[in-house]
Amino acid sequence: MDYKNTISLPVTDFPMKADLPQREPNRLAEWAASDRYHAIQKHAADRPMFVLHDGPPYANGDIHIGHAVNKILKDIVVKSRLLAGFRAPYVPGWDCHGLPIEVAVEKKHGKVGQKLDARAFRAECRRYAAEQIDRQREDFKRLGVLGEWENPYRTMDYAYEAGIVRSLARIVDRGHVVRGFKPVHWCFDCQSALAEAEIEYGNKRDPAIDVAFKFIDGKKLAGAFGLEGSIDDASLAIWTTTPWTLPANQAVAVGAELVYALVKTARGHLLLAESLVESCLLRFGMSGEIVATTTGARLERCDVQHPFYDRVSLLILSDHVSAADGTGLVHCAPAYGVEDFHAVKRYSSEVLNPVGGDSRYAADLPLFGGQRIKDANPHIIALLQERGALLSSTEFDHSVAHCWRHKTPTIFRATPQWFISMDAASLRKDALSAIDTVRWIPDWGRERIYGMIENRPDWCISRQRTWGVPIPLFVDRERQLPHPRTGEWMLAVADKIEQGGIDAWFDLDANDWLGADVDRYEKVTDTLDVWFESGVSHSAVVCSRDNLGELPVDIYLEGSDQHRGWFHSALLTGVAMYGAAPYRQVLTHGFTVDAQGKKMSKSAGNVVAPQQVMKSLGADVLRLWVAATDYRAEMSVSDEILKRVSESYRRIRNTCRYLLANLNGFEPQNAVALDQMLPLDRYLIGQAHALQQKVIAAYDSYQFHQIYQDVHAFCAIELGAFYLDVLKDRMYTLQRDSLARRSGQTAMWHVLEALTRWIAPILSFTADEIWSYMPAREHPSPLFHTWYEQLAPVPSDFGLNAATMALLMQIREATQLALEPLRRDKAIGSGLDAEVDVHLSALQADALRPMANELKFLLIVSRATITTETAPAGATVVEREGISVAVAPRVSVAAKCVRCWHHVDDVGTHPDHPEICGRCVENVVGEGEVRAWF
Amino acid sequence: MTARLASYAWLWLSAVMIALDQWTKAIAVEHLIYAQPVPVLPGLNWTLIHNYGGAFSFLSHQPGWQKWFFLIVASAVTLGLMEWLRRTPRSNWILCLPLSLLIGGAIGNLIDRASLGYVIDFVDVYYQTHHWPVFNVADSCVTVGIVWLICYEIFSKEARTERQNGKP
Ligand SMILES: [Zn+2]
Ligand SMILES: [Zn+2]
Repeated sequence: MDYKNTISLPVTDFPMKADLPQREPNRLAEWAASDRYHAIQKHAADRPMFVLHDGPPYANGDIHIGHAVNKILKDIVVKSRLLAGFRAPYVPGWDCHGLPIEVAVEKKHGKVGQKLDARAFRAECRRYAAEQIDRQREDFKRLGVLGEWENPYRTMDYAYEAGIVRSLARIVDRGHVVRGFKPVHWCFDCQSALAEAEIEYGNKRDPAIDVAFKFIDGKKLAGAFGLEGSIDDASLAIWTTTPWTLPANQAVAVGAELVYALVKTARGHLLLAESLVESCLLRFGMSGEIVATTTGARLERCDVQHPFYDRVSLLILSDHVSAADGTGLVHCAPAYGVEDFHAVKRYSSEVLNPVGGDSRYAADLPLFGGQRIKDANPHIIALLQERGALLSSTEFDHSVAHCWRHKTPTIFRATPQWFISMDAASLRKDALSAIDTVRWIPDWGRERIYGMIENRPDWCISRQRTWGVPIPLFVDRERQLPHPRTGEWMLAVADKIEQGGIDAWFDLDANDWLGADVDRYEKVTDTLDVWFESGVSHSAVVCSRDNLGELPVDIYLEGSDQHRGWFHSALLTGVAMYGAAPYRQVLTHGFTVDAQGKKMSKSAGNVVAPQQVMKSLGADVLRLWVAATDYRAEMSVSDEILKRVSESYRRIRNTCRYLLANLNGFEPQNAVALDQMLPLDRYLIGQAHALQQKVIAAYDSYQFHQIYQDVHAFCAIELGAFYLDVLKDRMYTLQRDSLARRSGQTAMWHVLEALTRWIAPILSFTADEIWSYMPAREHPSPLFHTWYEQLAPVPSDFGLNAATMALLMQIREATQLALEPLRRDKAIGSGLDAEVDVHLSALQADALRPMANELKFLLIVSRATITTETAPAGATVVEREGISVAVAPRVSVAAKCVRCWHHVDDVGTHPDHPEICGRCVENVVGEGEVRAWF
Repeated sequence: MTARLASYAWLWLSAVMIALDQWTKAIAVEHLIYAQPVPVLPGLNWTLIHNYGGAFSFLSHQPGWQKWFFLIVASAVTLGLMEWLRRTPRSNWILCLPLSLLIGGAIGNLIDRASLGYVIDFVDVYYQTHHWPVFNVADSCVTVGIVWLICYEIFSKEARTERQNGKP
């Protein structure tokens, strides 16, 4: 007789081969067709909110692997919060204004005013940004990121532009914005101030000179050294690498605590820091001896003569002077150095600023008027030589600030700018205390941003650009102070911008607003720093959309460079506007590097392009890599690494496939209640419950690599190497509707329900695919659901308690080890060709007595006999924590049942079924086998 | 015209069945937890299940497709049945009754598919561990209608054959 039809083999249409690059786009089309994002949002409408607020990528160029990592991590967070029972909306955004887009448009249409006027140029920028967004959007969606893609926020949206102006109005209103002349990074090629974030450092060769400044009052100088009389031939020496700043010299600074020496040399007395006397004299090619010493504090206001202009340079005290190099005295040109500026400010409010935005000296500057500063250096050095003020002249290589766009050196230059003052309305203090209301992940993020806020200068928010949101102010032409009605007018301008975009300000006629005052006030044409624009998204997006809850949002999640970028500008604007941080948590991830930890670059040939990975391996493999990698450090990726990840992917996929195959013919009405289940199945449910607790905790604390490890191990070890292996006999040979088989199917169903949810935030495409094969799913995707609730820990009086289970696993291990040599010698094919004697202590034997009859099913052998006799010499012993078990195997001599492949003595005892065992006879024609344990 | 459409009066029965079907489904959704059986009698549970395709399992994991497939097939069948009903004399209740049950049942499930993408089932009949597929009132109407029609065809054929044989 053919028993094939009496056996229930696993069957499923779920494909073994993932074919992700082909299959994923179909699923995306389905998500789009069924408007999956809004369907889930609607379904979750009554839940508590969890808002991850998207940091806007810059709308220029195709996405790279760093973008992919960022968006995937966000998606994992959002989806896991959905499963945790929150309504987790996700509105993606783009940063649209700013220089890179201007540069791209300039390449095609020339600079503003050449072919296009400013208005047409802005229109081109807007069109260009929209195109870039469309390209990036398709790539982001292809990653499987769920969000409001059809209605994202864009910083160039009229409503957002208006939101920026309203935010600025509020910050002005709260007294944080000040007008000032301050040295800012200035690029002559951009002809604009640059933000700290737009600065790169690079090497540059500069002249390095020592210059003498003559003391004016010899008597006062002598007094500072405690000497009698007057020292009339004394000079001090400064060292500088920027001779072009000497025309703007206003002071020389000394350190109050430093010790200075008066050195007698052939050219008269020289003032130097004591510790630098030797090295300076060597550089000057002089000899000399120290006549007296004093501290810097006593030298204050022993003023000196400017080396080539007829004016006094103040001798001032400053903290920024050190005796590490140079002469220990610092030449101060407050217009061209931040520290100089702050040092001189305490002595003089005047700032000499002879250099124009085009890098030339003002025409009326004596001696050098109209020259370019970089051409002026040799002329200045020659003049110093002529006047006998040059002590030494060499060249010097050092690292200086460069424009990130032009790669040319920038200078500090005092320009009239708008600032958010860190201290005028205690912004720094409030921001520092707001930092401690935020959870920083990883926790070193707190130190990093704290240090930055603590030490940063005022935030220069004005730029002189075309494609940016205006600072819509009218200022007094003379005093540069805003018009008294500024607060009210800014809000009115914001309303106009909401209707017509930023052109509404640039087109605006000042006469309409100022009336009779039009000669007294001028319209500001500066634009805002783009970091300000994206920084205020908490106001322009979160507070302005009705579906994103309230501030603070739950989390900001960006790369670790954003402590100086978006986290920073969002914190400052948040505190400036509401006195509080706009976020509760800030999570940062590391940069993407290659397998050797090197930065990716085209020239190194180690770039992994996400678009390419989509085509070759699929989004889910990339997503699994992101989840599997600890994002707190640098994230290594290479084709080799991704290949390994796709092997892990296959393991998880095949486990799910095997579970589905075993669920063939199972519907929820066939489910067995937990308390009716076989103990082994109930044990598995307990294991799954424990793992789900871990998975939930790991998602709650954003430890995704932990989830990957645990879930992968569960698939490979608990299910693959144990449970599913043991269950084969029961699934295949028992009656379809038998309690024991339905119990096993119920366990697998519960596990698959839970497992699919665990992986859904990470393997979004595959989870949905599995879901579509799930028996009677409630909703079309696991993302409509929350964590699975039908799992439970085993009851306290459970028969298969932890100790028993440990003993059984130990016996199973011993059995597998014992069978290995027989298998190697081809004495047996499978374990079912063997029998084992299990040698246990009396206590252990007692514990296993109730399940002794079914032990062979757990060990997958044809007979397992428990004995308390001493093990024979050849037995395999496995010892664990002082407890040992021994297993002695032998080849079974009983006949093999053709149906279940067990070797059993009763094969052939039934006259109608001579080829099968008694158990199989019962399953084929009888009431069906009953199992109590495994 | 009125005479031609007279048998459409039977659609009142369809309407009643649709109302009964939708009402019971609403109660099931309101009171039952998904896939958790509530015992009613020995051999009967209420078990709430969403059926995305059921018999046509090849369609049930083709995302989106099965919804349209079932909608089109069910609409076509309903229109066919209504045409059949129109051509049947109103007084021929032996034929009109099963047809109107079938129409009611088809529309009952059609409403679910169109609005939800799946059909709500909740009647779980079983014997020991053997479970019948979970069904609903609309399924019952369809089943009764089909069985009735089959019996009608068989008996009327026999009647015809007998009449023919009976002729001298
Ligand atoms: Zn530049
Ligand atoms: Zn057998």
